[in-house]
Amino acid sequence: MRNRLLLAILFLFITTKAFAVCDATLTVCPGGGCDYTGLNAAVTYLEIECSSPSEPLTIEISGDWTSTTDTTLVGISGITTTSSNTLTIFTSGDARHNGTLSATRYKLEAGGFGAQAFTGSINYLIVDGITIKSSVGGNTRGTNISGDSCIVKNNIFYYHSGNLAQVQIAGGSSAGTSIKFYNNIIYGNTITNSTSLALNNYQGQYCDVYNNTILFTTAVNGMNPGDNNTRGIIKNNLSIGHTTDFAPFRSMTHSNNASADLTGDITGYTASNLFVNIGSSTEDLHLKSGADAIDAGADLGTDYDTDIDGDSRPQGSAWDIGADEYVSGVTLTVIRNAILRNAIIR
Amino acid sequence: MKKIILTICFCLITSISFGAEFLVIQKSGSHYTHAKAGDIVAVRPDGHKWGKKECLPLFKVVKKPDMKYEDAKVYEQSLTEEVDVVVDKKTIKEQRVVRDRKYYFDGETIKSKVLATEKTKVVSEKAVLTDIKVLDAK
Repeated sequence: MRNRLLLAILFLFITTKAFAVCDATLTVCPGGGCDYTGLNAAVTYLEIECSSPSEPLTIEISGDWTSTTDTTLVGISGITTTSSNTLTIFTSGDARHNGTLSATRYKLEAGGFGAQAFTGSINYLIVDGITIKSSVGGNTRGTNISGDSCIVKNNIFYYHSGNLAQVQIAGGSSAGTSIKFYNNIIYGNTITNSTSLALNNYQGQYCDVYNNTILFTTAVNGMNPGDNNTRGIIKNNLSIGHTTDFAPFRSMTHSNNASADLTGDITGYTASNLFVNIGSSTEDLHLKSGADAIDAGADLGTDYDTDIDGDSRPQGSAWDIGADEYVSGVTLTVIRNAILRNAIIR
Repeated sequence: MKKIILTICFCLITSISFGAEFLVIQKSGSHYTHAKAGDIVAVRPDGHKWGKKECLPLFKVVKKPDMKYEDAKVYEQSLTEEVDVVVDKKTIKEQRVVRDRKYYFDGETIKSKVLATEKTKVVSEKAVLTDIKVLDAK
């Protein structure tokens, strides 16, 4: 009896191990030191080996990406994620941008005719801290994320040459499963008739769009909330320099969205008075001292109280508008000097 | 002196990457959009240092020394189709991804082809990859 029991346990152990082929935690970095050298290969692995995950899936992008760019377009589909078994793609350490483009940080620069640089078509997808450039042609978007309960945060989307929106989010079949899109920077859309951020919820989906910065494109619309079926909340966004910075908010709840034209909740902002650097190819869209967006936002609670750089909100009397929360350089200098002084005394 | 020049020339020649390497999946995904066995997942320059899992059993690296990397990049594209989509009461044309990858290595013959599109239309590509070297697991 005891032997049988032991054998049964052994059999279960072996069979469990034999079928546990899904490696839920993957790493991506250049130089061959990680599991993968490109994001799409890691995604392909998960699609094939982990399509019904029993634990959370993560892809961590790390390392120094100097002289290396990930140029393979990424498509994610057919993974049955759940609220407890999500798929998170994030950058860390040297690979993570610091709110601006950098030659040493991870960048996905994918293109080609008729191809989206990044497509996410699953539920419970979390994309955090990625820099995406889409050099696409034809009737194509740069990035398209659709699905319930997805979170897209702290990303930089720059440059776009497809005829459709630079970034589209579509999904969220109910208020409880809305897509959350926050702390992202979008700029460099070169197509006149497109939109920088499309909330393409024409089928009645929900999205919550908070604290994003959309700048200076030749696109017609900075942010376009689709049609009258659109649901969700738009707050604390900064959209500057388009023909129309915010297409009509329609049925969406909105407040504290700032524009250069007359379409925002707050109007009359100018790029030169907001950002550290708006020079072409040298953009630094952190808020500069005295920017109108400082302390002009609404408090969105603890779920959203850090900015694109990880700085906590608020730094001043209220939240800032846009992806960056302004941190006074004076305060940092004082702290550093104090530490230095202590070091000398010792 | 000649030796030094020859050594420099040798180093220069060997350090320049002329060819391309293809990361090819060996197993098919379950979803209709997923890559299928033989699909080209990524293209990198000759001599690329692949990751620890970019090898068998799931992937093979196929080396193609006589194809320029810049020319080979086209084989990373997705299979898309143009569809009409109604947005805000307007019909627009949109490229939709039908399958993750458009190009694949066809089993034994190892040829590069365009995948059959939805109505069994098959378009052959000019590039026929011969003299393939396969880099097995590290």
